[in-house]
Amino acid sequence: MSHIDEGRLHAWLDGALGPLTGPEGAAMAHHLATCDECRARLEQESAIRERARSVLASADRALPEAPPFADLVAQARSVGLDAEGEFGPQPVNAAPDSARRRTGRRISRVGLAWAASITVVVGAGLLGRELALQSGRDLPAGLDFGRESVQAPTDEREDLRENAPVAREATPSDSPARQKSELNAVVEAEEPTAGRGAEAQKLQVRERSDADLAEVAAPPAAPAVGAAQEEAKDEESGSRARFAARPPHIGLAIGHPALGCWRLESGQAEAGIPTRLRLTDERLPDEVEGGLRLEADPDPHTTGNDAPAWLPLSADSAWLSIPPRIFRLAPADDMLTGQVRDPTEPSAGDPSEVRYTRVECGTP
Amino acid sequence: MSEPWATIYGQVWDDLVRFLDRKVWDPERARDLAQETFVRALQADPMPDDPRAWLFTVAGNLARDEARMAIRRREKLKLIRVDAEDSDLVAGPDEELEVSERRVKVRQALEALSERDREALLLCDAGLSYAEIAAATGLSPGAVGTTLSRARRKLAAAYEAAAGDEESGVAHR
Repeated sequence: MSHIDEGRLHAWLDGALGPLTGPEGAAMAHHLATCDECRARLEQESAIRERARSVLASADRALPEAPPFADLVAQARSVGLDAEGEFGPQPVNAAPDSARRRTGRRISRVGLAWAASITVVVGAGLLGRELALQSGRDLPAGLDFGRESVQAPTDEREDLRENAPVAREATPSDSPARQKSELNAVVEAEEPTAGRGAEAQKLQVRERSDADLAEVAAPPAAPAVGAAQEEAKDEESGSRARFAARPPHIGLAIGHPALGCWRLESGQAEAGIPTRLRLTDERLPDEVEGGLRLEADPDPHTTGNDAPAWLPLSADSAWLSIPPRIFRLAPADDMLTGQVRDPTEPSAGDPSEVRYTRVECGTP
Repeated sequence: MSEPWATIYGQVWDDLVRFLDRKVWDPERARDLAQETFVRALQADPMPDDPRAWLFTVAGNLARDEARMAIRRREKLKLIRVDAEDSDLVAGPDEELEVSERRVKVRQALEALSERDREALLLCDAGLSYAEIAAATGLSPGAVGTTLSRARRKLAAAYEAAAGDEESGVAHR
């Protein structure tokens, strides 16, 4: 393989070359492991990439509150049907600035009042929570109302008020987004009890959400517990989404020939207990001091993870919300241990040990 | 019809507003344009194959139209500026000034890029995948990385140059 051009280095840094198990990723990893020059250039390009990102971020300002989604639906319908409705027909692009701005604000107020009334009806229902889970980002508090409102975007409002089950049926319960949210629930369950049923897990998630509310600012005018839980859940699913989307910042560690796969051999990790992973290998090269990267196996059948995830393993240890059954790491050798602790008693008890052994990559 | 958009709305709203803000440099206008973008999306029939790429393409076009119209309607600009000041009352004047100055520098740095490079960079920063960037810009998927590497390098250099100018300016004062 000849040297890697800048474009491919950036694609690699952006996570656009596919997993390490793929042909392109594997070829890159192999080349980087053997080519000092390309590793140095990778570092340079990584710095440039970070620099550009921080320059752009420095222009950020507080973003205006997002309008409720239902308002956009209403606006789209009023424009599309050319109706003489509340907002009237609006050629979106021809409206002068000032008119559009006024319209936007008026919609917001109307929408908040409307959405609040719906919140009372279905706010405590599961449906709202599921919808909230589908959007994996933190959003301004005002948008919570929008999420409530999307349940029946094309139905009449009266239908929603009087017949919540109709709206419930309208949500595809087997959609990928739903499945993902269920996975989140499993990941977040922290009670160190093996063999729980799905119901128990859901309850634990709720309890935790309630507790988290102390830290999360309550949304304005959220009358139902369900809405408040959504807020907390949003926080969590949001951070998870950002985590999954984080590019794999591959530094020097990726070139280390000890890149390998590890499989959980013994311990309680499978019960989903938060685990501290610590490298016991003493022979870590100096250059990885800034951080190691751990990639959970992307194959959902072997790990239960829905996507490859890069975890920063700063210095020699990291807390994982769920210990993966199989993962790759660079660099590492021989043995990894994980210490398990009960999150409800952070300062008490001897951590039990979770043990990983090296396996050939691709082993189920 | 609107359900898939509801999910996408939750996912991309912030990124879309930020993307637009870096084109029109006014958060409130960016919000209005993002709103318009979604209204159009909801009217789109059939649903576009690549909804996110579609959204950012439409948003980019709206921002361009907006910039053209703004030149023709200078009297409206005054209104906007007053409104924008109103909405920023939370920030102290010093802090506000600092943010504004920084934004001017970033804007200048971005304007030093070619349109294609700038577009790819802003789309990438908004979280679009290489495939989505390719779909939105017409670049071939294989060229996205090269375009981004060039854009990032140039942005960093242009910003550095602007910052250097300012520092020497401060020293003279």
